[in-house]
Amino acid sequence: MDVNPYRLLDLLPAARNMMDYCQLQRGEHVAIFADTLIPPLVVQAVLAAVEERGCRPAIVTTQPAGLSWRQGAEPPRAYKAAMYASDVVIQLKSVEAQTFPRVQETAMIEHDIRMLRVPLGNSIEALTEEWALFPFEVMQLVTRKIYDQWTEGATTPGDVVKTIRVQADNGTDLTATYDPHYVIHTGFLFPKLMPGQWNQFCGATVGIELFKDANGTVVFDGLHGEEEYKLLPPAGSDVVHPLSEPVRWIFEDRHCRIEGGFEAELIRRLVAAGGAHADILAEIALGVNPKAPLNTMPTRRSGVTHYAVGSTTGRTPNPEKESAEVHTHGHLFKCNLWVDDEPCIVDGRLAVFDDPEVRKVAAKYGDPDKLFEEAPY
Amino acid sequence: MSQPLHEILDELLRKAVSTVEGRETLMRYNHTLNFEVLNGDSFHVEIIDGEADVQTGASSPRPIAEAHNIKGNEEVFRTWFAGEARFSDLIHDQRIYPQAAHTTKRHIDNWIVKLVRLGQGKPSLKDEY
Repeated sequence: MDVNPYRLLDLLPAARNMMDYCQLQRGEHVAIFADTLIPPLVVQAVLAAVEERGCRPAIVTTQPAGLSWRQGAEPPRAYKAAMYASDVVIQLKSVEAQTFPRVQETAMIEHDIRMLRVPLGNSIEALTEEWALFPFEVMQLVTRKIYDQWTEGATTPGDVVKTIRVQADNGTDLTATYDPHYVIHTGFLFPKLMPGQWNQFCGATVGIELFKDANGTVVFDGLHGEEEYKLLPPAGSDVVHPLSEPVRWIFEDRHCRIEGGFEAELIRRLVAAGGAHADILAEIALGVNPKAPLNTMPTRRSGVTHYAVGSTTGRTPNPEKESAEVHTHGHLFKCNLWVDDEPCIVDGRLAVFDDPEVRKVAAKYGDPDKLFEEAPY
Repeated sequence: MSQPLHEILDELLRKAVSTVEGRETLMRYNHTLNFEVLNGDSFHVEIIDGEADVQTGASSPRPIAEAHNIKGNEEVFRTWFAGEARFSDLIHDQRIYPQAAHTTKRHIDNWIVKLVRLGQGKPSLKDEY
């Protein structure tokens, strides 16, 4: 008996939105990478949307990401060839973690590809939900505004140092200083995705990946992004929420001490296996999509901040060579966040949602209040 | 005495723009790239409206969105410019350090890599397929 209630037509609006995110041009070669946990109907919908644009698609079925993002993992040659030979790569992923980072970096830097990463979990429902229709133009502008705030006043060359502070009622109070050159975003700097860039479908993030100093505590609502987390409740998801007891990362001079229950013990083991620098703060980031589901895509949700320790090679190249073998995450649902004392998140809401320019662009797609209203899940 | 790095880059860019693809590629962005040589003489290139100007030393400060910074030892830059190593491999081997991690300036990394490759007279890598 077929229990799948969805049809191709239910998925096509979101699949077509993907094409806007990677801005396909007629005749381009597109490789759709889908792991075996992605439902076939999802792959068919994306294939149809690519063909609608007059492009030349090929599908590459891969193993689930699993531990493949860890340093040194090598994909099959056919995987590399498909990635290197394409103009655009669309990755449909059941786990958010980056897969085969060295191959992907090589593809972008040396082979001119543009990449769209689409973390979906393993449900068809993911592509029928409101988050997947969020307009590219609005996401691009919101992301750019936050990036500009986090890098304001910085020059190249230059040695400006900025301060980020996160505070929440659950005991979080973390202050870190950073070089704005290491502010990152997922490919939304321009209105157009350029060769060598990637973006995350309907899920921009802005973050910092190298810090000069970090002191204080962050208390997590959940963890995400590790294959091992699929064994923790809710089983099968790489997102762990709720936690059996609070997990706290306590930073002194950027180095982290991990406290909490069995989830904390799992992180401690991951970090212990990651080498001498795996306990160094390597990410503070936020999401911008108010419709992203908290339980499956917490890092994409507007106002949710996520944190990582361990800087994998290629992520933050720096002569200090503080690379680690792991880059592992936790997230916090609601906080206040300031950059140099300027508010960025106020009581869990992105301040940029009230920016007049952002609201004017959002109005092209409907009522800005509705577009920026947070999903109730 | 070996040729200074800034002269090598200047020659590569001149060769690149002798092709249609090179001229089109050079027009892609207006950007300043600083090459911070950790054990030698730094240099930079300003590319504006398809015109490249290579100079010794660091550029004057530019807004972060309009300028890039790549660090490395002199021999590493020589290896890259000579076509003996790929830029992406030099990153992963921790021999070259482009600013801003793995997202914000990758399009600029891709751009200068492509210009250098065109200057080396190497075909597009997609031609291999």
